[in-house]
Amino acid sequence: MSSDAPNLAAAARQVHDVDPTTPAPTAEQVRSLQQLEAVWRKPRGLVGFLTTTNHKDIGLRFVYTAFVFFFLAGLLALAIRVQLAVPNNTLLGPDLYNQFFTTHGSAMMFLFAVPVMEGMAIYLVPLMVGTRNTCFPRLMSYGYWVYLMGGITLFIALALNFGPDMGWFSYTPLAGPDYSPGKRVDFWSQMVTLVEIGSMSGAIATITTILKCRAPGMALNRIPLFVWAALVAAFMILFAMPAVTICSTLLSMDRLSHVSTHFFNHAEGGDHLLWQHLFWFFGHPDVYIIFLPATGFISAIIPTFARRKIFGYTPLVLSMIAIGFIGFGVWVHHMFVTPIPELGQGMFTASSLLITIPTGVQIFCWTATLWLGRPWLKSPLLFVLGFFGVFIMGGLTGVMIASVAVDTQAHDTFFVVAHLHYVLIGGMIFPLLGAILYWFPKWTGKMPGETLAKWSLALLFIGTNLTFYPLHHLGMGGMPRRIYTYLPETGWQPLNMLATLGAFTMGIGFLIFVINLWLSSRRGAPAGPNPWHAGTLEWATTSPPSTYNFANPPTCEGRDPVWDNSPDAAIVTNLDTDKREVLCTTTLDAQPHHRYEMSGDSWWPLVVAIATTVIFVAGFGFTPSWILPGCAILAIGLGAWFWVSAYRSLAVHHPEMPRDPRKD
Amino acid sequence: MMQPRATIDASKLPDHAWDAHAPLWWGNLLLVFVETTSMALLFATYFYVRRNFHEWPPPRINEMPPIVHPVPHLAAATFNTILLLASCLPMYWTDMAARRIDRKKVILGLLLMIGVGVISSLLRWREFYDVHFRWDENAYGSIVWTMLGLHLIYILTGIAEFGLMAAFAARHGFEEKHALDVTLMGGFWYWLAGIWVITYVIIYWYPRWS
Amino acid sequence: MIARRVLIFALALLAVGCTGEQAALNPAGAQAGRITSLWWLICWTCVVVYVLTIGAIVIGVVRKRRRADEPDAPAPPTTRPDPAREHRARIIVAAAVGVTVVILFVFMFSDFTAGRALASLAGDKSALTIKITGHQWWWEARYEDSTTSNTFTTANEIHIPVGRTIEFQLESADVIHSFWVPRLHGKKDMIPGHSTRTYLKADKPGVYYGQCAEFCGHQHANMRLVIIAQPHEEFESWRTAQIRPAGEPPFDNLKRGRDVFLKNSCVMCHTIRGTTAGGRLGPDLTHVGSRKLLASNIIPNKPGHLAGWILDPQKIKPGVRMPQNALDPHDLRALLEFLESLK
Ligand code: HEA
Ligand code: HEA
Ligand code: HEC
Ligand code: CUA
Ligand SMILES: [Cu+2]
Repeated sequence: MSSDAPNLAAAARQVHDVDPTTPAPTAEQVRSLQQLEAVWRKPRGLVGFLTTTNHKDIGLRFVYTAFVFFFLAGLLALAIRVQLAVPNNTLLGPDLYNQFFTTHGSAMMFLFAVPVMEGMAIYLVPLMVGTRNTCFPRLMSYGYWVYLMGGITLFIALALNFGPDMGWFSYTPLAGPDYSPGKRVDFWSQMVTLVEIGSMSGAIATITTILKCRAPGMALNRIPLFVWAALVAAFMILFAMPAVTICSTLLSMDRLSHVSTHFFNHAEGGDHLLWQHLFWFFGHPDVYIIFLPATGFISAIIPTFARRKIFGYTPLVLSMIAIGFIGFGVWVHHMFVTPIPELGQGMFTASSLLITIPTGVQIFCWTATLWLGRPWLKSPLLFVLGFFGVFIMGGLTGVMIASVAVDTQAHDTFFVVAHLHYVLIGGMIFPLLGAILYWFPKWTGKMPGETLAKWSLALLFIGTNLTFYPLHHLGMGGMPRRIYTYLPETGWQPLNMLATLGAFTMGIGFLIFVINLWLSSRRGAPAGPNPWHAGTLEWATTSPPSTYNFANPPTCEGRDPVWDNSPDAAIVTNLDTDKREVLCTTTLDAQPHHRYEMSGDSWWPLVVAIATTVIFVAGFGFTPSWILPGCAILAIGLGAWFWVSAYRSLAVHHPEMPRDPRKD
Repeated sequence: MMQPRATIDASKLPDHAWDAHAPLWWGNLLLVFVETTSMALLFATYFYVRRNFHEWPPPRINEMPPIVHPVPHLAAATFNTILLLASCLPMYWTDMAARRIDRKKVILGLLLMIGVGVISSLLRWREFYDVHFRWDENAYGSIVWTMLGLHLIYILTGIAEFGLMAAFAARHGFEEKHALDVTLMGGFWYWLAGIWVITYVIIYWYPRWS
Repeated sequence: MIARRVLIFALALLAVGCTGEQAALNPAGAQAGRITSLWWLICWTCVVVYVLTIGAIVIGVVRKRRRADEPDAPAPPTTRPDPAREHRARIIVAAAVGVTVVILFVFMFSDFTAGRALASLAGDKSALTIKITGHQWWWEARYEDSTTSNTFTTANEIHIPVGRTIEFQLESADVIHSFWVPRLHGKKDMIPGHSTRTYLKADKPGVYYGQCAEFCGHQHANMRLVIIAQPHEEFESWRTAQIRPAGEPPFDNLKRGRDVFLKNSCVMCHTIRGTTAGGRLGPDLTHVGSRKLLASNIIPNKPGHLAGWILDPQKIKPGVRMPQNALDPHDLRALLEFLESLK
């Protein structure tokens, strides 16, 4: 009983943060808050850990897991850099080197960049739109479990010397049965399938939440820009990820000895360019799936620290949507040196240049916001400035290689490696770290330390440029990517050495960043609900938020509700507190429409995720005979998943049926 | 004391919604997007692979008697097409019964649909034999089998859903909230029939025209 | 003084890319030259764009930043934005977008014209045709000729005449490789099942290095390539020499070397025209002695290196498709002499 007291006090405070004069809660209100608390509480201990469906748990879980994979992949990068520091190095042989760079690239792209952005979206979206959880919480939890299994598959494989060794885009025939016997490629393709199933599940939950569960009044033209970014990225996931699940499944069918299809066997009418088309039809949208949420972070951070509303909300939204569309029309720029008709290539040059325009619009609008405001140079904003310095450089090298003629020289060299790290580190790592500092007070209740944050930024900024700037020169100097060694005569050694030093500088920068967070979470200053005096709804609740986010969900009277809402803005009351109920609003103008019960904590997502893993890793990866048993468990799991929730909602009308509100 | 603040009283709102107002409807739609993209990519693969062959399908010469233009047989597939299209009617009927919360008719309709699904799967079995190649003989066989196979998975999923829903309704009864599930199954089934028509034309008619 | 040294060192480092022996921006042929000029156009424009955008951002931030002595917790922005400034900002942003569009059009147009120029060699009737087949991890080169007896095959070291268009027909025997000699032209992928061509021309005599650019497995790093551009006469005499099969060895020791070759597994994989060795899995060795480098141009063609290669190629190129060979020292010496005599 007494443990509820601070929560209630907090809840009373949060009813409207902007309005501290809210009267003390009545006995009636206290009772319903207690009930709310009980309904949303997750079971203790391991059971809670395995069954939770709360978006904050799962979102953070995605983020933590992704960072573990990031650090592992980063350590592999250090090994790569050490190997390349001097010519004729024998530290890693070709076999290990190939496993390392493939695992590095695959883990960074599949296990870090996309999932970490999904995790941030899962954590932030419900708070930003003012609801209590994402729609389909169990689907989202399932998404996390398959992602985790996929990631573990890859790293266990690497630890057992089964790491994939054919590059992160796994071109056939090198990845086909003839030139990659053994199971290395299979681990990779099953990892990819699992992780992408996870991404699609998360995307479906995110989109539906954004479309149906927004705070009353949050019409389309008031949705926070980060939420827009998450929405567009999630739609891109839905249309891009099937390409990679399909092509990795076709590849595993080609490779499975009792199946042996011929999709990628040119002797029997298959085609190796088909692989490249399918892969890049996913691969290019994928880089914007990574980049768009990062632009969302920037659009959230800049107004807060420029102390004014964002300049050009509508152009920014239209740019994101445009990127979402054009992003599907540029994939051939990864195939400029393959035998594809010249005219076709020219069209893809044009579309690659076209996509620069919306990106430019975004950059210009952010610049204008900074000009028109009064920038408050706190660490999140400083990281965003780091983003400008690094990303624009990478974007411009992207424009250079969008030219077919230039790309015939730059393709598959370290120039492209430089481009991709500039855009990825500039375009996602810097905004992401800024975002983590920005929202750190929200999820821990403590302020992040400024000094160490600035040190880590300085080291990362210098380190990134030191590591990756020289690679441009190496690339144009003729150094292809993915080579485990080079001859002393080439003269590539000094620049490679610089790059290696840079990589360690970056490593120290990341280390300091993590140490800073750790220290701050232990003894940072208390943050309060809205330490940055920001405008979006996640700042209208306690830090950290309660499991149900808002005791009374807020409404929205402008694009930055905390800034714009009048002091007596309405709140949502009388949602059922004996089940996990939220308010659904209409899709376009967010008018209150009906109440919707969200499903509770559940074991079934984990069971179904295990079944999925059996089907893909054991079935498609090893022997097809595992597929049927896997499907059987899957069917049982899904059946139970449906059955319990149907039964549960039924029980609402028949109170005599036994029922535990927190479970189904 | 302040004025009591304005509130939106949620208890006045209904506790379920139909069609595009319901989150589940959107979830279902988004899944259908994923499935449509998957099928579309297989169609693209089909036409991409086709460029590597002079004849499509390639002549069947490794077995006696050789067939010069081994287009897949029409009968089973055509019957399946008609069946799937026609089955949209009972599906619609079931959906309407669901909206009226007519438990008996819903169960009946779902059982009927399970029957349709089973027959359709059996016909699909036949269709695999009507393709003159196995999946592992050439890329033509691989892609056609994969298209038929993926669509078969959708049919089997449909059967499982119908079965589950029917069993649930029989055991625990049927109410407003479950009506939406039936509507969504209907949406899925119409999609399944529609995408099949495209698949059917591509697999069975396109080789006859080219 | 030290600063000067550091500066010179830094400049020398950055010159990699523009001066190296394998540098794309150090062109020695029309194709690479065309790409280089396009490159510099785009590159310098991008440098200007970068400086301008970053400059604008930095100025914008520094100019009106909140100073340290101001209260650390600014209130929510209440003041309404000044409409005149908003309007001006809107115009500036629109103008910037307009300039971006113009620049992009220039890039697109210059890329198209460069593409045209690069394709213009394709019609050349007097071109010399060389068929290159990529293997894991070496290059097979077949010089085509209208007289069949004048066609011949060699490997890894490709001689071409200066000033004449060369048509390279590109194929792969196993996985994807990419044919790339940066100082002469951009790269072209060799994809099994998709034979393709690329055309280039060397403007001046020289030795042009390149290497396989598409990842092709273990020894992708050591799949190097050399093009030696020679004046017409020199090229012709090289060619005449290459066409000749290996003659009967004049000395006993060389004969013994040949027999060692023929009796060992070498014949299964290597061809020496004029002998019974006709294997196709490894490079043609008919004139291996004339090459400057061995094993896809990673070790010098000296007896010691050659011996090391024959005894344990796996040590030099781990994973290479040639097995270790245990040879009696005398046999080995004879074999070496024989191979070196194949000029
Ligand atoms: C976050 C990820 C990200 C982003 C945002 C981008 C953005 C862009 N990329 Fe990049 N790209 C990758 C990740 C990304 N890329 C990766 C991972 C690869 C390699 C994959 C592999 O092979 O392993 C790759 C490879 C790659 C290639 C293939 C190279 C090759 O293999 O040969 C090409 C070619 O066109 C390309 C182009 C572009 C372009 C034109 C943009 C544009 O969107 C950039 C637009 C931005 C700007 C231009 C800067 C800001 C704009 C202004 C300041 C306005 C003014 C500008 C002008 C007037 C020009 N990219
Ligand atoms: C989000 C994507 C992402 C990120 C963040 C990175 C980060 C880094 N990458 Fe990676 N990279 C890719 C995506 C990414 N990379 C991709 C897609 C490829 C292509 C793969 C392919 O060709 O198939 C690639 C390829 C690639 C290559 C080319 C390999 C080759 O072609 O032969 C190199 C070489 O320098 C490299 C280096 C680095 C380095 C030094 C970092 C650094 O930023 C890493 C920094 C992180 C750490 C250092 C770890 C964290 C720190 C600690 C654990 C503390 C302890 C350490 C110290 C105290 C030093 N990467
Ligand atoms: C199983 C096949 C195989 C056998 C047997 C074999 N080789 Fe090789 N050999 C190769 C291949 C493949 C290469 C190309 C290696 C590379 O550069 O990646 C090669 C390369 C060479 C080269 C370098 C050619 C060049 O132009 O760089 C020489 C010399 C050579 N082999 C000699 C021999 C001799 C002598 C023997 C017998 C004692 C032998 N090989 C046995 C497959 C074989
Ligand atoms: Cu051949 Cu790389
Ligand atoms: Cu791309």
